Amino acid sequence: MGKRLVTSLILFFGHSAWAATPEFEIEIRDHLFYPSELTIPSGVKVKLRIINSDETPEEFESFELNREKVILGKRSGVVFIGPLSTGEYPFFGEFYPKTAQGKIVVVDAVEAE
Amino acid sequence: MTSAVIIFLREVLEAMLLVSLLMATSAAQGIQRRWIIVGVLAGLVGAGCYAWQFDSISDAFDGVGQEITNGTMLYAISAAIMCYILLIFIRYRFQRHVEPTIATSIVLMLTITGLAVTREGAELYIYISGYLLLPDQSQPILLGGALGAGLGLSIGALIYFAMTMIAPDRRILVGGLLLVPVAAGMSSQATNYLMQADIISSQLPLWDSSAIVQEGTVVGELLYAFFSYEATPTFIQVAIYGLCLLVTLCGIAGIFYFSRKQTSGERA
Repeated sequence: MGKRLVTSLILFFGHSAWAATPEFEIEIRDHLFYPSELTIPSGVKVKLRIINSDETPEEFESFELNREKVILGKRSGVVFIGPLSTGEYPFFGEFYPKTAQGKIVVVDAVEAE
Repeated sequence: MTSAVIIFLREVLEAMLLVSLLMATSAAQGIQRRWIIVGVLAGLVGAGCYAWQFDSISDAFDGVGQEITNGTMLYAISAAIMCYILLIFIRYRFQRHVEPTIATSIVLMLTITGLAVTREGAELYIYISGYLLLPDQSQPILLGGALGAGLGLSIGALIYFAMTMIAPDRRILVGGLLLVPVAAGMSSQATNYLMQADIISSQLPLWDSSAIVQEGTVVGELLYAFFSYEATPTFIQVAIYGLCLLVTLCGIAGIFYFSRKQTSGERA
């Protein structure tokens, strides 16, 4: 009984803190995104680390993901996205939209593995 | 160049929409327009400081300092607009009964304008500063920026002059009501920033209306400026939006109810 209570308490309170949030990296180089297509699992929160290798600042923006974040030159930034349902979610660099284009592809969790 | 026009137009228009509605409603109450110069100047100084300290602000709070700063500013703007709306309706309905609260109105308008210009200005400042590193590209960007800013200012001026054509009494009513969704939207946007920073847990969107109006299109941008339109909002965003609408509209209804009661009481 005691053990079960402890376990459920840990599961309840520790869930968000313990369940590791998958982390993915996107690099901005010469006003392009690498990778320009990133596959992530559906239904889970994901941590995106965006590394700007250019000297110039860039704004990571996506209407579909409802996200926008300015990342200064030679700096990196974190953006949390999801949980998302399967599909394609384009993103772009607002400061250099002609070249800086990419998309997040969300697939069923099993496929992603 | 086209992207510079779009970025400047978008940011300037967002700030100008607020400023023109504030100017139109405050002029209807007989408040002189001088406050706008102070508000914009304070905002430009604020934008410079924000952009200057952007690196350390972004790195703060485990890398989500930007979201926290933007979110806090948006909540503050939203709250100040809601207070301003209620205040102008109190003045509108109790003109002869309460002492004019001009000073409070001016403080609220300065807060709203200052913070709005700080937010939008800092982004433009960072955008421009990046292109100044690329000398061959900076000229078309500056030109495009000037064009976009000019367009944004013109549309703002147009809204203001269109509003001044409405009789002062009615203008307070129209302007006040137009500000309600703007305020609610800003709280919803602020909440979205907190989700981006994972301070509030995000969820799957409540609906997807991108098949009807896509964000990023002209209609989408206009709806965004007035209602903070998002094609795929989450439940928390919609709930915050609804709560702000409800609180402000109930406040307005209350003001109308009590002012009517007071007038009928005096008559009896």
